[in-house]
Amino acid sequence: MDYLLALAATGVIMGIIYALMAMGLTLIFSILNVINFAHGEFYMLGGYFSYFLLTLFTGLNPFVAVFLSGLLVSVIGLIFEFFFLRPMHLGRIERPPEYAVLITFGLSFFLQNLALAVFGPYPHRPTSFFSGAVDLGVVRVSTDRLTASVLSLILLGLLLLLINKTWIGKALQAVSQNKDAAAVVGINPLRMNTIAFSLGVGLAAIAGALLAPSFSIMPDVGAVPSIRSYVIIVLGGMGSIPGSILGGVLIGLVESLGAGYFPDPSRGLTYKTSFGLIIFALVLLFRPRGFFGRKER
Amino acid sequence: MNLEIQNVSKNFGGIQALNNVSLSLEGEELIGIIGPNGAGKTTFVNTLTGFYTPSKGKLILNGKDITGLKPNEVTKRGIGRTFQVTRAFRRMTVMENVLVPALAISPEANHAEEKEKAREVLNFLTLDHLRNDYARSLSGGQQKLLELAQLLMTDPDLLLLDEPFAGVHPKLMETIFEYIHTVHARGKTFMIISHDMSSIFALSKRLIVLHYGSVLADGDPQVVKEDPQVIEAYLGEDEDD
Amino acid sequence: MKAKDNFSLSLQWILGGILLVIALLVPLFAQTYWLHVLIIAYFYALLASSWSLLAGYAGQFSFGHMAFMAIGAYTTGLLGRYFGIGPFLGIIFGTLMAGLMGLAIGALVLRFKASYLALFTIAFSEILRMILNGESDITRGDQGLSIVPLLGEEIISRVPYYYIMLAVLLVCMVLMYWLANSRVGLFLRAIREDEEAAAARGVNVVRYKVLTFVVTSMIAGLAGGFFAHYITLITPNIMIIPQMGLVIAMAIVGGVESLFAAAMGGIIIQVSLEVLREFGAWRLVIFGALLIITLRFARDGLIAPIMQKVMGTAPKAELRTQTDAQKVAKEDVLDES
Repeated sequence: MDYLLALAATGVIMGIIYALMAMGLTLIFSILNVINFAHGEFYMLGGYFSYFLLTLFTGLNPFVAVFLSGLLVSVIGLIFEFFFLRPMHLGRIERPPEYAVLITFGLSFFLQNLALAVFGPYPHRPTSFFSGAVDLGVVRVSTDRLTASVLSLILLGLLLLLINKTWIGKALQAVSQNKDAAAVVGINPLRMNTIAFSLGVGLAAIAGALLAPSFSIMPDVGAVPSIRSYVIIVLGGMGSIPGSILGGVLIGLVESLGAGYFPDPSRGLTYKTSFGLIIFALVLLFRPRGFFGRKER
Repeated sequence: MNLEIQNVSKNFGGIQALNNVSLSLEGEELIGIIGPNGAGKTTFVNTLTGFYTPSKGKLILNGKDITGLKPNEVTKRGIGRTFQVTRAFRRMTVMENVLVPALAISPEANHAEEKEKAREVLNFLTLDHLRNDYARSLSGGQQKLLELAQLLMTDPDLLLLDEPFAGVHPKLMETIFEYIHTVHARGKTFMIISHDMSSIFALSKRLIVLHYGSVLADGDPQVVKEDPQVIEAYLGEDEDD
Repeated sequence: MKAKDNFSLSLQWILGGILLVIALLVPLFAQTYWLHVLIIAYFYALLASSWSLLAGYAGQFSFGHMAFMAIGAYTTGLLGRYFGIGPFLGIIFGTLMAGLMGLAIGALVLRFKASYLALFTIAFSEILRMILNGESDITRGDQGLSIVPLLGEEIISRVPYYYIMLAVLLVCMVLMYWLANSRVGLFLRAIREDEEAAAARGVNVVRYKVLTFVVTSMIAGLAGGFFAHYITLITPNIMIIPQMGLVIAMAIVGGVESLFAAAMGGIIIQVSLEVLREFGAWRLVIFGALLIITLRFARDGLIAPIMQKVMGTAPKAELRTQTDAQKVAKEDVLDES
């Protein structure tokens, strides 16, 4: 029983961080109707920027570094969205759905190799936020991971506030439901697209920066989180914000419990991500709307 | 050609798009279908042509049950349709556009023979000189004609035209009228959905009015026109197209 | 019109012939190293062109292509290791196995739109890769599965391998060309343009979508099989997503709607990667950038338009691309069915 609780606790703690990144993906899908296949690479960039900020400015508060990384990546996202995604919504691109898949995938390919070329293949790891571990009763968790989780929770809360209580949040909701109607009432859908994309990739970057001290950063560190994010948003329902939070926690649990109870522990670790993937494939086949989502527009 | 539409209903979740529609088509008819927006006209066409499967009811074509057949099967059996917004194959040439249906319905068809047939059909629709141009470079009106050409290539017994007159200029209107009359004279049946009252009344020998997914009236256009229910539901109101 | 057609057709044959002769003569004056580079290049050309048939012609942008290639490679590798089955038979089995999986995947993804198709095929590919890694007792995982060479016990000369790979490439290209120029090709393009309209015009969409998956996955499996018996050591890393990305980049930069351009994209990019070796990791950065820019500004690819200009087969009425795309966008907005 203790084992189960320990696994569950770990699952929830990681799940919250997964949810933050998945929330970014959901935002992007919900507003732009595009699945960002480069989401993992923005996560990766967040990790790298945080590392280099902390290395260059030794006295820098790590949380400031995390925030700044998010900001930097958001700017990169903004530039990309403006030059490569906006034309889709201006009717300048043939066959937009295929284009969206390919261009974000192409970006992923480009960014991964850019990171490899600039930073090299060797892992980098920023210093921890806090050292040591915390005893939660059922399980001991490294303070870094717990911190990352708590911060993610706070950010998720802030985001929910933003979406539901502020004007921008409501404007985003409007665009996600009906682009043309939103335009009619004076909301600029193109600007909302840019905001959603920058914000979305910024969240991925923050997740990356938060987890950087716990796991090392490498150019391909975003691959697994990327796929995990797809799994989460499909499970939770594409375009559903609460769905991505629930989905995140769910996947955290699935991975933790799956690895923990797999008959062969060494293989369990290798198969960890595949549990989510198999569920993901099944959901795509049988219930593509997930548990909360709307139909793809 | 004989088509029996028996008690066909179609619902999507909570929405009843077609409600117990029963119709009988016999021989060579020229039928107009009218009704307010949302009356189920396009759903009707989609259900007849296999894009939707009826929730209830049957479709019997020439004695054979075609309920639930896929669209390409229905086309092979002799029912063809156009789309409300023209859907030609944009990045294929006009010739390729008409070859697709010809080759699709008859696997043994000879490429060269079909090309000859295609040129005749294109000629009939004044498109032959454009045969090597990409469909997307055609004007809207020419694309409408292209769809009509594609229809002819499958040699259907029943042709369903969904809003063929929408946004069509008078000269093109003439061509389409001519098309309908010529093909009808060959013994084919037409079902034409339109909001264009003058065209419908000029063409139709039988008028069906759909309202909230049900058949409100079915018969001689002049009689249907005077039907009080029809006037209240549709004809008497302002057109908001 | 007709005279020009005949001319461009003859030109195509002549140019093709010249390329073929060059390819056949390469082993006479090339070092072993470059033979190796070209063998690998032909392998990628096979993958890029078969992917372009699936994606460019049929409009199915699948990310599972390398998975089918790996199925071909591992099938023949495992059959050889555990059942002593010889290379040629192993490759046949590998091809069939890949085709079978292609059939399954093709059937499963029938209703999927672009994003879902991408997601599902990525998932399929990653699940397969994890299984290959997870069952390393059987597959040798990252240590690598040893595979006998296609000919003999060791690879003494690469020349026969060069000709074999070239032959496989040519045979598959001919097959795909025949398919693309037959009525099947017409149907595939119609499906790509507008699936529902194609169905309304009598095209059996299910049959041809699945057929394309089966054919292209078999070609990928075939490529994987020959590759395995040439490289003699395979790991699950042959099918990682970045490898899929490379093949996609080759096809798109070459010209995703032209089999020949995609194949040339494969060859040129692979050879360039070798030529630019000293740039290290920056090579792929350049190609990544090329991919993005090509997608955004030159959808038809970079090689395909050059080919078309040279052959005189440039499509007509291309002038109004912008306005047509804008027209399409407006129609999409109005037509909410």
